[in-house]
Amino acid sequence: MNETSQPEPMNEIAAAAAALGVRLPSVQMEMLLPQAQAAAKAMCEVDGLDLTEFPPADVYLPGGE
Amino acid sequence: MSPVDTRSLSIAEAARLIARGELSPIELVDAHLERISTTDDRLNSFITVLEPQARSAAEKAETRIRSGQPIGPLHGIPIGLKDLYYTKGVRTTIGSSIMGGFVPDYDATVVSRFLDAGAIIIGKLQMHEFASGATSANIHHGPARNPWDTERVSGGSSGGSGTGVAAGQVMAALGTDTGGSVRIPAALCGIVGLKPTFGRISRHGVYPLSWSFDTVGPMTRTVRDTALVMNVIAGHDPNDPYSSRQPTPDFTETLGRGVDGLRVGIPREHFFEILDPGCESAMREGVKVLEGLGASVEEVSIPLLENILSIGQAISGPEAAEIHLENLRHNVEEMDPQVSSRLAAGLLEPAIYYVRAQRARRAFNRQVAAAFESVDVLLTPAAPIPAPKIGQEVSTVRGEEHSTLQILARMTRPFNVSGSPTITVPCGFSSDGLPFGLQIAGRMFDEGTVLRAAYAYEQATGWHTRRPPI
Repeated sequence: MNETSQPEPMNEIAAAAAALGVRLPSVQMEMLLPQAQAAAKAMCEVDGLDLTEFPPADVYLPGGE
Repeated sequence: MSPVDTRSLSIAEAARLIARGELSPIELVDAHLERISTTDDRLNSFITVLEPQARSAAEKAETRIRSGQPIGPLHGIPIGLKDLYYTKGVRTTIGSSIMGGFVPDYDATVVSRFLDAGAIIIGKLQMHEFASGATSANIHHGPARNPWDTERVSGGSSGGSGTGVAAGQVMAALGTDTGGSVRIPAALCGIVGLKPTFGRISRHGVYPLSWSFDTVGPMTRTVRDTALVMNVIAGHDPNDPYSSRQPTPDFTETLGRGVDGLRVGIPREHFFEILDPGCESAMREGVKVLEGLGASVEEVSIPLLENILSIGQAISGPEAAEIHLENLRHNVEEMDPQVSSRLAAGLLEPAIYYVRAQRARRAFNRQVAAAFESVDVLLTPAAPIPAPKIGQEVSTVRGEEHSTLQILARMTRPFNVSGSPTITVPCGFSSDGLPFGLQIAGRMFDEGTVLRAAYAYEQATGWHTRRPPI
């Protein structure tokens, strides 16, 4: 894949994937962009949650309910 | 006995007839193999049909009866497995071409339990590649088709399981449910699908998608049959580190106790925001049915439902990406681009969001537990739309367009985050004959109440007796 020909967000996504040893063909990169945007939206929403009333170490573990 | 109608015979009835010597396992298996041979060119439920193995097992089952040996509760009952359950000596594809030659050298714990109970495995069922998708539109094996309209999807990722049960190709099937993959195809195909409590059923020998969400679940045509299957497959397994040590009840025991006095909660948030009017109407009618049977109904608030899809995605994305990291590194060109891009998106999430989402999950689960202090079950629609057409990427709901793949799991995902036992039962049909599902969730490890409510509703309505036209 020629990264320099991609729009900026695609370059960033390609670089992040490449850092983990994953190089997607261009058709898959095009499909990845909306998926990455959806994931970013989810991260942003999770980041904005007010969890102050929950202890920082109170992280879910399966079977712990 | 008259020829077996594989579309309507229940496991409960078949097991009774077999135990009395009034139905032969050979006859029962033959009838299902015949049904597969005459319908699967149109339905595409199966990746592998185990015809010689099933016939051989049926003959052994017959011999066992004739020689007066004890038989198990599912003796001679033909079942199907989503093709991600490990089956010793039998190809297991996980719905992918990458895994095409994989032949496990052991059976999944649930497969062993089925075999010990006398069940006969008739084949391995179609699925979305790597269980990563809600339609079962599989580019390697073709789409599983909905028996109510073969131009429509059966839902996913356990689509072949939904189609196979609804069409009478198998009497029960196992799916897996990470974001709704048992309940979505069950709802779209008009059958019963149960996602038990996380930890209730062993996942040993089940190819994973998301380690903290994946749940094994039965799919059948009746609630009683689901309870019968649960009696066989539930219970602790030391080979699964997340397998619970909670006692395993007889899941049929409380079925007939009715819902008089049962407290039903309708969540205020999330479930009615994107919902087809027909689905909503059927669900509201379902509420009235339970009220008519003596249940009380109240609205409940679970505020973090507003964020639940993001919390779920922030957890399942990295978990699935980590599982498939080597496939993404080395086999990505052989994968469905939709699946590989979805998995790859999980690579991009910084760890801090994963941990934060797991904290939010704990907070959400506390809110769910608080809701269950005032009600016994929660009622919601099981899917926001009836079965979409194969290849339909956009669905219009109340005039607004939505990604079909993204909205299919809207109703089911919250209970994967909470881990709660949750069932879907048929609750009506659209004007063009497509099934709707009613979803009932209960407290952790309280499958008994969930099954009891579902059974009462089923018996009062009879939607489960309708059969697809094929």
